[in-house]
Amino acid sequence: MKSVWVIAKKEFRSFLSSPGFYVLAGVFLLILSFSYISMFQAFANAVQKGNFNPFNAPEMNLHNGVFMGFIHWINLLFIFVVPALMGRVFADEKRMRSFDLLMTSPLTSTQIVLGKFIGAVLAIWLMVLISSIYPISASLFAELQWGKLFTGYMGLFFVAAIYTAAGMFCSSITESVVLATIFGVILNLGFWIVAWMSVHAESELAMTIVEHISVGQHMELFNKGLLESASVVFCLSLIAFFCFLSERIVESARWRS
Amino acid sequence: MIEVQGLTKSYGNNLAINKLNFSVKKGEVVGFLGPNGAGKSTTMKIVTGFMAPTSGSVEVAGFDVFEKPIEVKKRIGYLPETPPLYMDMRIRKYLEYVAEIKMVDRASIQKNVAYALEKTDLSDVQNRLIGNLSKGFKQRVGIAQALVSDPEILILDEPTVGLDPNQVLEIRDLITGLKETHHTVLLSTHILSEVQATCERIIIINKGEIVAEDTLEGLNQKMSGTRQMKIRVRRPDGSFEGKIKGISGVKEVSSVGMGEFAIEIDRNDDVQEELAQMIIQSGAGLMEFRSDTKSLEDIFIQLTGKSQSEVNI
Repeated sequence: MKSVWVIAKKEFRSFLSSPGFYVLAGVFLLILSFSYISMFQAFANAVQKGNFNPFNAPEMNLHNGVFMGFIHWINLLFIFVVPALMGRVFADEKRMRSFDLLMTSPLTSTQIVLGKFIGAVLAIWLMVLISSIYPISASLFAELQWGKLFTGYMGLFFVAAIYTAAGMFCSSITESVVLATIFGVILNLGFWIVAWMSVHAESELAMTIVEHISVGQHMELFNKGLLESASVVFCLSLIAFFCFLSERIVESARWRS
Repeated sequence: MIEVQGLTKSYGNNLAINKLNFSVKKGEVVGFLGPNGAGKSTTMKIVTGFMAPTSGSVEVAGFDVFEKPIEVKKRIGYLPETPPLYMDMRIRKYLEYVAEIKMVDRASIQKNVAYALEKTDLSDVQNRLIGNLSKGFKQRVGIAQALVSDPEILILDEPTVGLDPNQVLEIRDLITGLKETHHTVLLSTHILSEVQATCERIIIINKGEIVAEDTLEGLNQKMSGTRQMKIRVRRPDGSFEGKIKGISGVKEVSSVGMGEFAIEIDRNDDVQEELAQMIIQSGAGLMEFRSDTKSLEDIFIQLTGKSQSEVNI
């Protein structure tokens, strides 16, 4: 476990010392700021109109009107931002040959992969935490539904971890950072597209299956304030699955090289 | 300390190394010599546990590399062909990180890092970013990372590449020093003078096979049943060369000019004594009489079938 932590610390530090991290985090927050403002304005307009239509009142709250969309936006941005950050994790190590150091040190492939994953996910979670400035600042002048916000953010932590694990896997299969990033984005979009497929599924069974394996569907539940054990188990399984695949790829380097 | 048996690695139909057998004893400095592409790096990667062989076995410090890889890796310091560096780290932080992943005791990390920095003469630049260093400095950081865990066994793949002549000498002194502290060193190179200067034993590998394995002296003897003599006399007369040829055991005589002669004789002290006596008695005025051993370069060319121009000296 000590070795895992050593690698995680190094990975976390290398994220924080990379200019790319700050550029991407900056772009992420900039887009988020614009979308937050526009969602707030749209909500204000809707509230004004809603005053004349009392039937809309129960649905008309800050969480449904602003923060659900806001959390969706973060998720959408992460589909692109996380692979861009994760692309270098293994690809760079292979390209710069520092991978040789890891492979000839007294470490197992599992320790290497877990260390990298933990370091990377902590850096990406840092971005999730920074995004919480928006709801916290809103709470100064409005009453928020903290429970729903909490589960929504919990969903974000899970989704970020899934994208991190998937990005790590994509980075482990190539020496090119650009290719790893592209693979990562395609994979993340795939998780999203599955959610749309459920609408077109013909049989009920197919629909249920597609709904269960869609990251978007589970995120939707978290965002609505539902904390279901099925969703938690699904997210953890997906993270474990991609960590396992990455471990297999790292281990196979001994045989393929 | 290192036992390699029947080691074979093939890439598809291409055989990189073929049934290698060799061993390195504790405290020995062994040179692994061969032309580019002979299979040196492949062998080293397998010995360090980085790569799996197609067949064969490797034991390091009594542990099988493939059954107990962690035990083996704890005991090895490895410098690959390209130093495994992180360009965004500072030298000291990098060495501390390597020490940590090599499972050095927390209490010894600073001591080991200071030792590695001092041995590779990097103390003055320890806080510089690795990405900003010159090739020579990067190579030294690579050597420092191999030393930082104070391993029993050091496997160095072309350690002096990219270094200036002074640094090359320092690294050679360092390797000689490691021998005194009972470290076992397996050193690969295609620079012959490096092997000559640092190694007690030489393994010459060509096209994936060991073509010779002995001490430099032993290789010399094996390679040739004859001995090269060089003599210089002040007044060689016309019959001088003929007189030398007349001695039994003299194979060949050739005049190099300016009174110098290269003589090939049987590897036999009596012949050498008789030759010396004859020259003195001839009154030709002996100025120089020496045995000219074959250089490693000659042996290498003979064994690997490379022309002089292909050998890096």
